[in-house]
Amino acid sequence: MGSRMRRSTTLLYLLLPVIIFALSGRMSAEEQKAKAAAAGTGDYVGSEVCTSCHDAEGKHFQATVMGKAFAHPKNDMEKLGCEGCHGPGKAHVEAGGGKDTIPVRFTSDSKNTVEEKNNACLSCHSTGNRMFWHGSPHESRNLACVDCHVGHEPQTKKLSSDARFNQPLTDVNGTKLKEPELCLQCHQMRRAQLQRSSHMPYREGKVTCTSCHNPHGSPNPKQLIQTTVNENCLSCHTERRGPFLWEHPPVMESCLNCHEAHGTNNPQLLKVRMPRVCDTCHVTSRHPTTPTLLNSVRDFNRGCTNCHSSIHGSNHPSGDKFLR
Amino acid sequence: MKMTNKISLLTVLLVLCFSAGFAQESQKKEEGKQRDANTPSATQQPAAEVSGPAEDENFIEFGGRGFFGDVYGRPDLPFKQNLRTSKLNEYGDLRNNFLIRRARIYMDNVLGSRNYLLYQTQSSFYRDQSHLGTFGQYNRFKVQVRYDEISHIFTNTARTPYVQTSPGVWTMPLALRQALQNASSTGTVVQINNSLPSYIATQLVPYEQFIVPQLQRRAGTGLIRLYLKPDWTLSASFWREHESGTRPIGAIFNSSPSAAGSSEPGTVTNRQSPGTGVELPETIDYFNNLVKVMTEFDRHRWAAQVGYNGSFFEENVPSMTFDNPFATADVPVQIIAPGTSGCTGTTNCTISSVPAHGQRALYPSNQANYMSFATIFNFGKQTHVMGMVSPGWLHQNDRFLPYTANTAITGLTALPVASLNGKKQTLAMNWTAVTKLKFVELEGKYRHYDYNNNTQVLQLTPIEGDVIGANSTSTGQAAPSATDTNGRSNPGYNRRTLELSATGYWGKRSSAKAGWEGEWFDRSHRDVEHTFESTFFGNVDYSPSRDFLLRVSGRHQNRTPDEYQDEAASDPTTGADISCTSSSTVFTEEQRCHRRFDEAARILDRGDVLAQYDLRQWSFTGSFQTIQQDFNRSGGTNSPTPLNFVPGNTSPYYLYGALKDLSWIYSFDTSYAFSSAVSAFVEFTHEDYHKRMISRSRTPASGTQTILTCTGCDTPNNDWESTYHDKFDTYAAGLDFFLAKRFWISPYYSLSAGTGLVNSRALGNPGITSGANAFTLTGTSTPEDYPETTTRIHEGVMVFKYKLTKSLMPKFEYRFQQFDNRDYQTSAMTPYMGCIGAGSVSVQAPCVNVGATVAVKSPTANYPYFVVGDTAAARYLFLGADQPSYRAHVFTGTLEYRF
Repeated sequence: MGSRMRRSTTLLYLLLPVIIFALSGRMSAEEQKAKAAAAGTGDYVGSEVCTSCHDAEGKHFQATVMGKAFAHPKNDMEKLGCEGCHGPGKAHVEAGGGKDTIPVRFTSDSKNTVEEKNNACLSCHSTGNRMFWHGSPHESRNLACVDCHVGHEPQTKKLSSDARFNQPLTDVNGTKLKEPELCLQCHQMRRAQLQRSSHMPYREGKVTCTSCHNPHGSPNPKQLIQTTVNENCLSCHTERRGPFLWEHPPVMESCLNCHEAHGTNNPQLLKVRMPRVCDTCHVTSRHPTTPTLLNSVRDFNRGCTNCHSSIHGSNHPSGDKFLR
Repeated sequence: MKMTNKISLLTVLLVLCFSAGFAQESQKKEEGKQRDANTPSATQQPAAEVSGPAEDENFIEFGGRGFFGDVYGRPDLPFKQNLRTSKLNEYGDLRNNFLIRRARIYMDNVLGSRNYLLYQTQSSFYRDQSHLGTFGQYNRFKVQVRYDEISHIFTNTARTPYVQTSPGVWTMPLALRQALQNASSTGTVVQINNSLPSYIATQLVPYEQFIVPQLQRRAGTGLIRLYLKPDWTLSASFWREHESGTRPIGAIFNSSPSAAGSSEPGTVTNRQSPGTGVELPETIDYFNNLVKVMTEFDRHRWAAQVGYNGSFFEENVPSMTFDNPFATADVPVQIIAPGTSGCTGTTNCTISSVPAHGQRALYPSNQANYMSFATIFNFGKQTHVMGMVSPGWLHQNDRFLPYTANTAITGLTALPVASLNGKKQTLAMNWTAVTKLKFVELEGKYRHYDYNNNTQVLQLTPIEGDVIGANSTSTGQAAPSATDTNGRSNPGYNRRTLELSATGYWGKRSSAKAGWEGEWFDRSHRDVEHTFESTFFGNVDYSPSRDFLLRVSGRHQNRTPDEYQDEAASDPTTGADISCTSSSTVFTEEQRCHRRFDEAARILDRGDVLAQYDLRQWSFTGSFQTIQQDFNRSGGTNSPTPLNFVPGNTSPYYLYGALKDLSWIYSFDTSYAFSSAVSAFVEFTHEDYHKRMISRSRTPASGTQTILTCTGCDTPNNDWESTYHDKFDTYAAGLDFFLAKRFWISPYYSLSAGTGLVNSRALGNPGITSGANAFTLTGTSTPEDYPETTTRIHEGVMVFKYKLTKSLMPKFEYRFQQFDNRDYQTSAMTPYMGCIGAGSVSVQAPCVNVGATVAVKSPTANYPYFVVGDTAAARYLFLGADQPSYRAHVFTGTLEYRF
């Protein structure tokens, strides 16, 4: 699409961050406050004061990943301990306790807005795979971090959940439920689709929602990890990537033109079974357009791909009809 | 004792010994944690097992498993299918054996170093095993190694006469091929069609060997992540996977999609036919390698990520060569003089060449390299600008195979190059700006994706199916036709999306959003060069209390191509484009009014509603979604007037292809806690999908004929309609009990039931039997309804778990699974589907003659509708792949040891 124009556009986009950075200004008031607090001034009382009353929560927290990291803090925010998330505790201590005196609480009866709760988490966890959280579908629909993640409360697991759902091994355990059950609480339609006969190994615990999607937001369609649907699918199904001598353009543009990734009852995860998936696009002459009888060799078994088996693309000099 | 058992037992013993020492040191710590962990909290689920932080869990669950059942879906097959290789184990590895279901070992502060060590395993030492080992120090570094296996069984009803004698080389015994060659080339075509099917059915198929096409993926990953400074992270990983096995793939030794060859050798006797096809186990032997390197710098005001992602696919078997079952030597184009060998008339008879072997390319090795630059700038807490730029380079340069494996085909030009040197460049750019003004959030997003295909264009002379015919004078081999790959090797596209939206917030969780999105899609070498799609969307989230949430959202999309012109919808003589509204009477290769659904004009409307009510004891979630896609737009790039030939026969349509794609989905789930010890859940989802398409049966006009002078070659009187209707109902219900603070019981049942219907009918007037509008949708060209496909997966499970001590928890699980499958495309499959006679093709027993055409339905014992077979498959050998119904009872007894 014009390599020179593309180079110029790329250069502009690469320079844009430099320009914005130069205009980004000084440290905000909130950041100054945090630094002051960490230096021992302000309304912060220290974690020892918190755990003098909240001993159980403190012990539980110490055993979590965050607790272990906070035990050896590497920045000013981590040194705040409990108050790094819950805010300064002086008012709470002076009042002798009480939920309303805690600046930030994360339970459902908290008076804090979703944004206030999330800001507590994002003060540390704003990068990595959360870089595109702002403006993401979950953020704009008012989903709080603690709607999915646990802080320091005991985790619970129902036996039925353990028996029904599997997920790949992970060292990330800070969610209220394991995948995919966590996501299926809202995405109910996917729960049904995962039960389809033609499926990727979700039920078997080899693939899960975050194998393809980033729930924290991504700049890509449908919060995919990769930039396009095809790059996502082809990260595992690399053999179909090409380039091929004979390309099949709708395959090249999007796997979802023909396939349904979450599961179907048609063979090979097709949205529409053979031969209709091909008939929908091909109105040429002879067999692509003549309706096929059930008994036809063009219908039973693999339908059109009984013969046109290189349907994703062919690298054979005689493969222009994807016969080989 | 099998090796797997030995390794498993040794692992368990090692873990037990290790844990004994570990447990003594941490006993007090564990008691404290358990006490604290069992303190009820507001978020605790009723009847659930409460645990401490998952990070501190150490356990091993081991025991034994047994299963039995039967595969009952194919009583017609002369063998009993093995339950272990059925769909029950499609992605798993259930065995009657000892197992380590899962284990987790965590050590903190290893040797006083503040480092931790974590090892997890699942389904250890089985074909679906996973292992994950992590060593690190929180906030400092992490080193991780991972090993995963995924198995995939495609079918256990397959049989084949082929043997793989070396990677990618599939052969049949020479004597068998000679016998088949004789049977398929002795006598007249009538005699061959009469005897060959029964010969294959009785002399070949019963002696084929069983195979289980399956894949095994084995992948190892190494990852290192360094938190070099509080604001600087570096990570690198390498993943290598070996994928090996076989899966079904089809191939034909002919340019014609009909492998019958019953039209050849025609009247000539004792000659071989080129029409042959086989379904083979495709040889899979891949290596996948993935290299990822990423560094991130975070300064609160801004952050930046730079990364590299390299994916390298190695194909170890780039091609497959396979014997032709019906030919033992390459045969050139056959020219038979009139009056010899049964050739009647006054001109030569011709038979296309016959190959002794076929050769097909498998997927070529390829590589993809991507760079990624991402950044975020924060202007205070309210304004954020995020960007990502990711260029990519894709390359493939495997050597070409020759045009044909048939040595009897001569006079071919050399390949212009030895390999493709295929090159593609991609460029993805995304920019997002978000700002919050008190109670309103404004957002702008721009996405840009370039897919440049810079692969060279080549001039080639393809030989399809290793077969070539005679020249137009019937005196010798035809000269191969040249074609270039312009538009075939180099299609590309560019996609730009701009989204603007505003969201207003009120209360703690309520909001309303409205926005607009525009997408510009430009393509090269496809039917539509420029498309614009405009979308209006909005949603409302209403949460008046912490217990209740109502979400309503909708979007309206309008896609408009600038112009729709298929290159193949052109005058075959002049090359001039023929549009849908053109008055030209030439017969075009593609129907001038056909529209591909991914490029066609379309209106898409989507609506979603979700209601959640979450009290302490009772929770309920209900949702509804509908997506309505309408391609049947009049005017614009479609026909301005209906294309219907017979008014009123169906609703008006303005294009050929997909007309409608509609879906409705209703869902609810609810759970109720009767007490802290008993809870129940119920889930239900109903899905309804409906699609409609229109096509036209066309046969090329001959000579100088036009669509007005031919006999029904391109008339709306031969239009036909097809609708597909899929319905799914998914149910689940269960209970969770926690009794006497020691005993967990959970029974549950789930059912996923789906049906699919494909109905087709002709739309024309069958009374018109001559002239340009002659109705031709008769006999084997009749559009007909396909039988309903049904798929049901039942699962009933009962799980018991008892807390013997705080470290020992025996567990027992009974799982019943039943898979019912009736699929007209696969439920009747056998290795030979040509054992059928119809019309002029009369076959011997045990093959069945069904009547005038194969459209005549004769019931069979197994498949209640009719004999499934095709005379056109007389020389096609399939694998007979199916996934029959089964039922299985699985008993698993394990001991969970926590330490």
